Amino acid sequence: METTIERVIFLQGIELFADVPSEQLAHLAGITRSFTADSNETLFEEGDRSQSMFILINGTVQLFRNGILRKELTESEAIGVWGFFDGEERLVSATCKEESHFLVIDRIDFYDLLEDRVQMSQGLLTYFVKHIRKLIKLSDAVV
Amino acid sequence: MKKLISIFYDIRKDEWRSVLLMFGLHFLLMVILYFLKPARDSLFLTENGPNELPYVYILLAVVSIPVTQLLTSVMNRYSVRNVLLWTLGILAANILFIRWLFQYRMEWIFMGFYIWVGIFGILVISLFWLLANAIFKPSQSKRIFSFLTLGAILGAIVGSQTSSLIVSLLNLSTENLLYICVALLAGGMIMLLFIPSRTKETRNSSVNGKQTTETSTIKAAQKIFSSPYQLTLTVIIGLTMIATTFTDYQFKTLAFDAYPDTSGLTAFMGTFYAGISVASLGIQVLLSSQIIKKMGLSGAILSRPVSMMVGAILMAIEPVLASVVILNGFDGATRYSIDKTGRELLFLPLSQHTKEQTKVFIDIFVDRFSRGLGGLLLLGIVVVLNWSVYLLTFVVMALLIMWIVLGMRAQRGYVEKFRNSVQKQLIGTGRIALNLNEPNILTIIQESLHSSKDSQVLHTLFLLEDSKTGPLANDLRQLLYHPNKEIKLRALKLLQDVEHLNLTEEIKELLEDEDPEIRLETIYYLCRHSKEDPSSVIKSYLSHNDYKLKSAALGCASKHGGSATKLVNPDFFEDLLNKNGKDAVVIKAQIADALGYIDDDQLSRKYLSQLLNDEHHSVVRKAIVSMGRQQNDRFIPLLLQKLKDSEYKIEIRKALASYGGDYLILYKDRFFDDSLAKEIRKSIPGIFSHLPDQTTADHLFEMIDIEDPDLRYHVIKALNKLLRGKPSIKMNAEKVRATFKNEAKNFFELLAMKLLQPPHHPNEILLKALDEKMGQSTERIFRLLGLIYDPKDMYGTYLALQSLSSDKHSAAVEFLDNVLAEDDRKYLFPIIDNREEIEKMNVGRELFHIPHRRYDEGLLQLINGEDLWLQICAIYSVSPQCPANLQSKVKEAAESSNKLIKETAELVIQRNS
Repeated sequence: METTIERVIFLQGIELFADVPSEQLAHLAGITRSFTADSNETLFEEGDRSQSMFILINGTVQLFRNGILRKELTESEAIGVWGFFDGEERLVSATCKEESHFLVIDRIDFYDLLEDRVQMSQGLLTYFVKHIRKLIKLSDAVV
Repeated sequence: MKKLISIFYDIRKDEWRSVLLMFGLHFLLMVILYFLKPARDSLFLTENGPNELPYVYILLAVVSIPVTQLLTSVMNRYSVRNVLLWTLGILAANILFIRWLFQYRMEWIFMGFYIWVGIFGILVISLFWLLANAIFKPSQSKRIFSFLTLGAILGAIVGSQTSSLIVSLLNLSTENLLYICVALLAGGMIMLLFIPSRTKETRNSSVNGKQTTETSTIKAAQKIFSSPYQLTLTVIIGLTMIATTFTDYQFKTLAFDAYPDTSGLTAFMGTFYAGISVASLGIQVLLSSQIIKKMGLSGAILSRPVSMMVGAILMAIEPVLASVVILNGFDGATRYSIDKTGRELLFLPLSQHTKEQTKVFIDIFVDRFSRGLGGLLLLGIVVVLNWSVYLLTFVVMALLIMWIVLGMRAQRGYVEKFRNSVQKQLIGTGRIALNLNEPNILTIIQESLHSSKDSQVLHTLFLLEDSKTGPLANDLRQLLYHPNKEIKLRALKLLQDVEHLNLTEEIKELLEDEDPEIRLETIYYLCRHSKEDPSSVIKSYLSHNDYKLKSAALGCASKHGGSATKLVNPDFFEDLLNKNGKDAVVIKAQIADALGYIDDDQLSRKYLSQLLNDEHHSVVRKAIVSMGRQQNDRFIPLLLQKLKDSEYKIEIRKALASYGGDYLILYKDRFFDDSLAKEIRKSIPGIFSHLPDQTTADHLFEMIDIEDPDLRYHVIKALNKLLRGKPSIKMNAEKVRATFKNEAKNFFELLAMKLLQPPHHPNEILLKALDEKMGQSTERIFRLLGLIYDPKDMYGTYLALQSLSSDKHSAAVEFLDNVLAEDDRKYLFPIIDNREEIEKMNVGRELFHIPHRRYDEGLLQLINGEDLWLQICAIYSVSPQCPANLQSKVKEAAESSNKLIKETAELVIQRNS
């Protein structure tokens, strides 16, 4: 996945970027870098400061919290989203179960890009609002 | 048949089924009504005689009260469809019962039948229209309602003409016509079951169970009285009934005078009603849609009173039968055609729940009550005052004038209702000056300032910026020790203006604060409130050993006191700029700020040019602001070049704007300069929006002609901002409309390209990009409309159109239909209409003569186009099956100097091989 257009097509399939216009994704694709992690390689540890977001292209990533396996990711998904946006500590540890390929976005580059891209911000806000709505509905259902 | 209907009515592909079924139902209901009416009249007149008619009118008004009460309470429990279904069933059973009673031939039975038919007429028709309102959205209603009304007119003609034919041909007695009515009602019920429903139409009985207790006729009346709009509609309907009672009396009196014998009168009446039906049909088919299209709602609701006014004037000039025939002819011909359509449209802005609560009350009770009131008034005028038919004309004219005035008011209310619904999208953010002498306000503000939530405290401090904060001095003083530095700073700034509380000793502690701005504001406070002379206070800090205080004092002198160079020597700057350590950036930023006030050109040029390229953002920002303050021509190229750096563009635009209007020509030239980077050119219109005056607008209107849609967008945006800042600026409407038309054409060109693309790989990305570009084109269109119409209305409408709610979308379309000029509607509506893209495109082709292209021609046009992203997506869409001209175009693109085009073309070549 070397060209911008391939990355745009890939990023369109990631839920986080689904509402971001494709032209804006082309700018985002410009700041992504490819990264390959070996089997058992740790991407980040719980409690680490968040500096970047990993987008799984293929492979398997396991997410642990307090040493307990919480989730296993095998399909394309953004990893480390919340910490990426609020700059707080990582909530989970992420380890690759097998050799895995990622696109990585560094926080500092991302914010530089966001500064002048209203449409990208709108797309991301839509994602977060959708998530909050989903959580509200879930909590209503629990109540 | 569909083609024939489509000539007169705009009915869309997915609407045919529901429209035809509703048309059929309306037709059937009117056939039944016009079967029942002659039966009612002949049976009543032969058994009871015409003298009892006035009592029947009064009784009808009385009976309508419990019927309305019952129906409104039922409406809140069940869906309109179910209520109508049950009503038709009950009415069919009623007819059978009445037919059984007829054998006893008692007077009260025929009087009861007369009243029952009166209630039947208004009940089923009112419920039919409620159902139509529930099934069709406002945007559909305007197109469809006039067609449904045609069903009623045809039903009336067929019903009245065939009833006598059936009686004579089948040798049926009049009473036995009732059996046919039962069969037709059963047919109507079956038809009703097949009418497709809209989600909103179905009611949830458990939810609405709560509302049942509240619902009654009184509640409905209260609701109407609490809404000026609904009250206006009610008064119009009441006035209509009173006026037509009078004209009906005039007509019958003059007709009786002209034809005293029964056969002559019957023949005349027959001819008159036949003529009315034909005229009604003609108006409905040929004129109704056209009047609504051209004149909007006002054309529909004013046609009847205005045309009647013509008849009334003729009556006033020459009170003869011909004049009253024209008066009543206009009334009859418009009553069930355009006026009925218009009246139903007036209910569109009301929510379905409100309609169900009040429309039945208006349609049944108000209608019958007004008819009774009209009869009583007529008795008073004719019997007590002994006025002639001629004098009655002037009462009719007065009533018609009131009707017209209220009709115009209702039209304004109608637009206002839609405006409110679209503007609910917007939230006002204007600032207010709080009156803190008001104890209640003071208490609320104090509580907010002591809130545990920082955001609430900050918001309150923001609100206080334009207020006299004296009464809050002690509360603000406590905030000086708040852990949040932003709260601390805002509180300190607000305390600067409080004279009665001197905190000079206490506040000195803040000189040690980490935040440079707090230190700066502290020195300013000390200058303002200290007993010493302010210049000696500032000098003492400028010569302080602590560099942090030194630079804070310099910043303070610059910010609040004008030129600082009088207070320091040139070496002072060099000395501070070369400082290292953790405060070096703060010191540099404060120097950059101070340089904006010094009157030494050479010094400011030297240091500001240097600081403009500093690695620290805060320093660069201060340098830009200072360049704007200095207004030295030599800074302009530097600032324009710096526009490339998007993070500083807000400050740079402000700085360039501060040079004044004389420089706009220079900026305009740079905007058209192709050699300049696009990022810079895009930012230039933003400079103009900081100088809100007519000349600026004129310059921007010259810039709006730019070909590149992206650059044009920024010009339009700047004009929007300009207008927001100064609404008195005159917009060049002609230019705006030309650009709008161009933009609409651009939309359809993109749509034409989109429709050429197959919906599979590798074209998906191009399809998405085209969709996004069409969305951007729509945004530009609404921004343009915001220049010639109310910007808030246009923005609210745009948001409503983007909403997923179909109700909001419909309200927005309806609102635009009422406020836009016909020509603007012509170009906008095909874009925002909820119809299939292929249908949209057909309209677009007709409007802009967009040619049909082949797939490869379309793709080639995109590859050769100006839009880089579309170019890339189009190249990516070239598959191995594409013709040779496209393949060679891709090869050509692989040699492009643009990195993105080159890499995409190389990828496609590799993929296709």
